[in-house]
Amino acid sequence: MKPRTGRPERGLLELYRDDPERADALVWGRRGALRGAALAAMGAAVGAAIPFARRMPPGLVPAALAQPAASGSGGQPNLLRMEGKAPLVILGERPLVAETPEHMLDDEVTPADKFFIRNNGQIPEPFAGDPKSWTLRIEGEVNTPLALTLGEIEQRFPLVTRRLQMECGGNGRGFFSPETRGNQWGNGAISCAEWTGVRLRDLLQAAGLKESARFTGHYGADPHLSGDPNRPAISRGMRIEKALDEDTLVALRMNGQPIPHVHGAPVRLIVPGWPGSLSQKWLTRILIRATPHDGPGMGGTSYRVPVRPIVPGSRNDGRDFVDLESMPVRSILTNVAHGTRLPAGTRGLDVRGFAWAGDKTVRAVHLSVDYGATWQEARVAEPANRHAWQRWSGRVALPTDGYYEIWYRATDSDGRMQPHVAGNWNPQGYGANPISRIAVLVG
Amino acid sequence: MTLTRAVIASLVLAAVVLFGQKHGLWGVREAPAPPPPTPAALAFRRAQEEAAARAEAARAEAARLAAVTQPAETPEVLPPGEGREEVFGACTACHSTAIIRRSRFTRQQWDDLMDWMVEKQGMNPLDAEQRRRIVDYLAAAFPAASGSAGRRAPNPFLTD
Ligand code: HEC
Repeated sequence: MKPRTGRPERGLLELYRDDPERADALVWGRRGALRGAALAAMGAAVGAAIPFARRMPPGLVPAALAQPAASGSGGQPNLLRMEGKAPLVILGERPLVAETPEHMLDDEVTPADKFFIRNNGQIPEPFAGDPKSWTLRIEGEVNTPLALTLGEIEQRFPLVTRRLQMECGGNGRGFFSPETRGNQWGNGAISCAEWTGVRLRDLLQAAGLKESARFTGHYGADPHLSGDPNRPAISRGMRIEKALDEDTLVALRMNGQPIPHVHGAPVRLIVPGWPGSLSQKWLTRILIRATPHDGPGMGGTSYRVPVRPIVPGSRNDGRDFVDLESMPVRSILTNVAHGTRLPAGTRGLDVRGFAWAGDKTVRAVHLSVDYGATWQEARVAEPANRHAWQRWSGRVALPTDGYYEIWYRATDSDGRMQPHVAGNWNPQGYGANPISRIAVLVG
Repeated sequence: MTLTRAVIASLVLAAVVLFGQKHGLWGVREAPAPPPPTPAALAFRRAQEEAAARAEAARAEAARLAAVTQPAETPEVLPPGEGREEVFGACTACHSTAIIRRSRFTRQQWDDLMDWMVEKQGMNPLDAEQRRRIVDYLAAAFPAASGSAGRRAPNPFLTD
């Protein structure tokens, strides 16, 4: 391909937006080999020379052109303007959904204002009563159904405080190709706040689980988007083993404060490491069941992934899928924003972030600035407690001025790494955790 | 003598009156201070104040949220095309248009989504002609994208 005359960068950008396959074929050549002119065009498109360009895998769109909208730099994303919240990137107003860009997640403990927002229904009217009088019911396959006020819960059961990562089941969805249904998250639907509450298992023990108790079903006070009072906005459930995990909490406080309304005041579940939709906000009732729960958000393709991989983009009713449980390993880079311009002559950059892996831990994080040709190991700290995310840090060398991508890849305690592309495509887009990357420009 | 006694008596009387007034024994007196409130009454008053404060905080929070979740939208937020007004009319009762604008689907997928919206989300079924017009519009305005370059953040290093 000849570089376009006039404004080549514009042309290439448009081409990528409108017809990425063709743009790729043109830019990268039929056999995927990078050619001189194509390289120049790509350099023009990202706005700089590309050191290590020969190592960029064929068909890969540079990060500068390929970040989901919520990476939050450049352009005019729709930003949340609300007292008590940082300017998160709004993915939708009703239902209110907002992503925290990676570079805003640099705190060890996620402050309330930087906590991502996902609602499935309307946000309920704030509870104007005494929070201590809010009632939580535990019913179903139990010997003694319970109806406890929060005041009683705090008095009767031991309070515990834990740092727990909580992530939307659809985090990373924007990396799927072809695009799937659902909110097109980047990697920013993640949080690790300090939660205080009682263990769900203590409440279940007080109610007395019957032999038949195998699954939970969760209910909250948020109305369905249609306003229909007989339709829960979302009601998901889990295996009883997860309900009995010592880190599954009925949470009353977030970072030592009452839970903010938009995050589920006065009480919510925290089911760390599993899809956030299990961490029911505005919690009113937990149903203990003998069979898997069947509320909205269960079954079909909801929060479910294929066992036998399906053709990307194909139609499927999800009958053979399984529920997504422990979330896959993922990492974020929190001290340098995607799209940062560094002074000419910068030859090294300290980078840090967090990594986590659902119920597992993170064994390693590796960094690359040459498209994965070489990797170096970052330092990874122990988690503050089980189910807390882990701090990683390192320093990368930038041998010349120009356009660089910093790739960061976490490996979980079972040795599973973030893959090169989002795999196991599914219609509603769960489990995308490809190698994370940001673009920086030196000079 | 009698006169002297009378003068002394009246002086004494005046002194006593003045003394009495000064010490509040008679004359203009302020209303007696109310008896101190009982602990129960104090608690009741505090509870009422707290309830009022909570109600006020709840009202303020609801207003803050409404400002964000109820954007003033008109059909023009959707790309022009035949059927735009119908889509805006049929599809914004429950959610804002962001959820539609973010989507990139084939005609088949848009068509399937109409069933999902009716069966799972309580949308009133569309009649055949309305459904055809709405799905035609959606499939044309928001066609399937490969995902590698769908609606991405703009290139941070190019500003034009
Ligand atoms: C009766 C209420 C209602 C009406 C009317 C309605 N929807 Fe929805 N729609 C929903 C709900 C509820 C969701 C799920 C929202 C969520 O989970 O974030 C949804 C989700 C969607 C999604 C996202 C689907 C996904 O998985 O990505 C699209 C697109 C959509 N609606 C389009 C439409 C269109 C187009 C119309 C008009 C023909 C429409 N809706 C009318 C209730 C409704």
